[in-house]
Amino acid sequence: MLLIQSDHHDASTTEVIDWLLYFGHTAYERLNNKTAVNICSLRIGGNGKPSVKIGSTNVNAVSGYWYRRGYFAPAIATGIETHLKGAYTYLDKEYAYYTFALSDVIAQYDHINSFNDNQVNKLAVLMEAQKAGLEIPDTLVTGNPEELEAFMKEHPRIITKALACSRFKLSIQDNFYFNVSLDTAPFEQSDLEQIKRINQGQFLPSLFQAYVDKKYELRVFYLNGACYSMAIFSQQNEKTKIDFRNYDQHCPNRCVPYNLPGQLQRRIRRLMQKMRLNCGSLDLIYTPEGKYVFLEVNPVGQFQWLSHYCNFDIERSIAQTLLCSHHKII
Amino acid sequence: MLFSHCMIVQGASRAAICDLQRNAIHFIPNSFASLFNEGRYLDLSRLNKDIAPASLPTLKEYIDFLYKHELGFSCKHKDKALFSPLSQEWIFPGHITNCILDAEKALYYFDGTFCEQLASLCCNFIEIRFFDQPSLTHIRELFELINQTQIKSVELLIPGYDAGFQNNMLDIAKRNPKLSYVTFYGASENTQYRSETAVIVKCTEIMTSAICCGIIAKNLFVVNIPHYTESLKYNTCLNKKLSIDIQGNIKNCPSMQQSFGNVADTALADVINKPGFKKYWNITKDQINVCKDCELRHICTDCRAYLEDPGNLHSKPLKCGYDPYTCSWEDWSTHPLKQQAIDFYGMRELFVRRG
Repeated sequence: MLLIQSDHHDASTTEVIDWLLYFGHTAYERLNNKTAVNICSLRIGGNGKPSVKIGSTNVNAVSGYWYRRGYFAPAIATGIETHLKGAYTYLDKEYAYYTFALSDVIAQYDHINSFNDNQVNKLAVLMEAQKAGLEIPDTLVTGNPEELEAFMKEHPRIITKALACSRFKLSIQDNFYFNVSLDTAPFEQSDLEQIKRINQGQFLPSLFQAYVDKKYELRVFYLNGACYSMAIFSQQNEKTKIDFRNYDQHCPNRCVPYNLPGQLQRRIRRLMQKMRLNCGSLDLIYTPEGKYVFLEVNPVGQFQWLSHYCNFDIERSIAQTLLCSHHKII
Repeated sequence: MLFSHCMIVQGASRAAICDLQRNAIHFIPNSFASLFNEGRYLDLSRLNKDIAPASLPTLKEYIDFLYKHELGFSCKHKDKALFSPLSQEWIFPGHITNCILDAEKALYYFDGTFCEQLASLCCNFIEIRFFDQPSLTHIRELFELINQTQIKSVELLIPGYDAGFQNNMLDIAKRNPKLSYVTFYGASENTQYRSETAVIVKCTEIMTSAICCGIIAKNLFVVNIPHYTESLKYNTCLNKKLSIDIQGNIKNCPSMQQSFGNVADTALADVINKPGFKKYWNITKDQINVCKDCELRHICTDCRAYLEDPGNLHSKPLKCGYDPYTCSWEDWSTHPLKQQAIDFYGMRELFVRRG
């Protein structure tokens, strides 16, 4: 039995399942979106290893687990949710320990990613990346305008981006919300002036980074040591110059397969092993001077576009990895 | 250097650059195409030395053309190895890629068991062609079944004589997002638009039988990686295709004569392993007369049911009007050299009706 945790609409999950079916494997369970911890149980102590049950599935019987998307959370009665906001926050925290432990136990079995990988801290990754020998952009997190000003003197151009998550839902009313995305944006002298002018220069700590000139960008999908790499020519298009996620649908950036130099691959492997990530998507920049600069790793990033643009067999590889773990246990 | 999804395909008289990412074709002279090393890069330092000075402005003009359409980029010699060529493998998870089901008014065998048979072949795309107007209840029943299966998308070819029927069909399309393409034939106009979930085509042409299939035309070109890579090793119409004709005969293609059993008493999985069922699957364009000299051979479709020379397995598709030696299109149905084959397949009636 394979356990796959994902979202309803995630096409990559469906494509991997297509491969499982093609290989004749029909024993899988797909969990979508929220999996209520109400239907889970965790047994520690007793006889043998800790065990987890999700609904009727005992994780002991699971031969491979793939965490793609979705989450574990408590299903709380609506009364509590709307009327007692404080209690709701408390319960959320209370169950964070439980979901963390659940995910940890599941990850003791053969797996690709785990729910806990969502917790990967961008700042910790940058520190580890540097230790692994990867070049990173000079980075400052501060709420102090003087410090920021000095940083801007050191670097002629800087950018700002989210510390953790670049997408969130802003609820205005019960049935009314905005999807907000905080993509990477240039931070100019005029932005600094504005900060100083408003609110006496007080602002919440934010992440600033030296802008790295790009010849092209690299997106690397990493799976158990293998690197599938793609070069993105984002610099021809004004829309995608700063952040390639500002996709241009009519005229997509040129994206082609890329041979990462061996040394760089070894450093990426070192970083991923240190972060205990067996799968993830990495963003790097290739500068006009010919240097590779590491930006970040997204443990549950999109890889469908790499497969489609570069004719990579990522989905087949994921299916084969899951099936290998399956056969190993049998 | 060309982006690795921009493929040069040389023909008898000119070459095409197939832009497999942006789905476009650009034509260049063969003389320019042959300057590319490994079919993908121009060694400019050498070319500037080797080419006659008088030709340099022309070369520059063509290089500007590549830049203008963003087909390539400049790159140092030592960086060349960083850009790997595109894998030529056709990557597809299915024993059958698509299934054509022909019907007069109803697909009487389409039930849960039939859907399970499609699932075991990993067939996720089906095309249903009605040669007469089905009842709306029948269509709704079909989709109730389809919605419970792994089938990802359904194309429907259906009569569009009646505006009321068309509107009801559009309503069905709205409620069933798996219905991704609807063609109304025999309609009063030629239009095409995209609804929220489907492409809706109306055409005045009349399609009363499978004999209307097999047309090769510019608007049917497919310029993308899956089609291109499939065409390198397999037949772009018949590979992994399964069809059931109006009598329930299971065939590779409904326009073909050879049947491998009737759906009433034959399992689909047994059919695909029968000798001869895959006879056409590996006939590539590189083996077909005329097509092998055509610069469009990796983006067009094929047809083995209607051939210019019905006796020759490797003959050019009858319904292709393109001549790669002169690079011109002609109406295939009036072409003097095709008249014998048209009579052989009994297609005269078709033109009378169309006229």
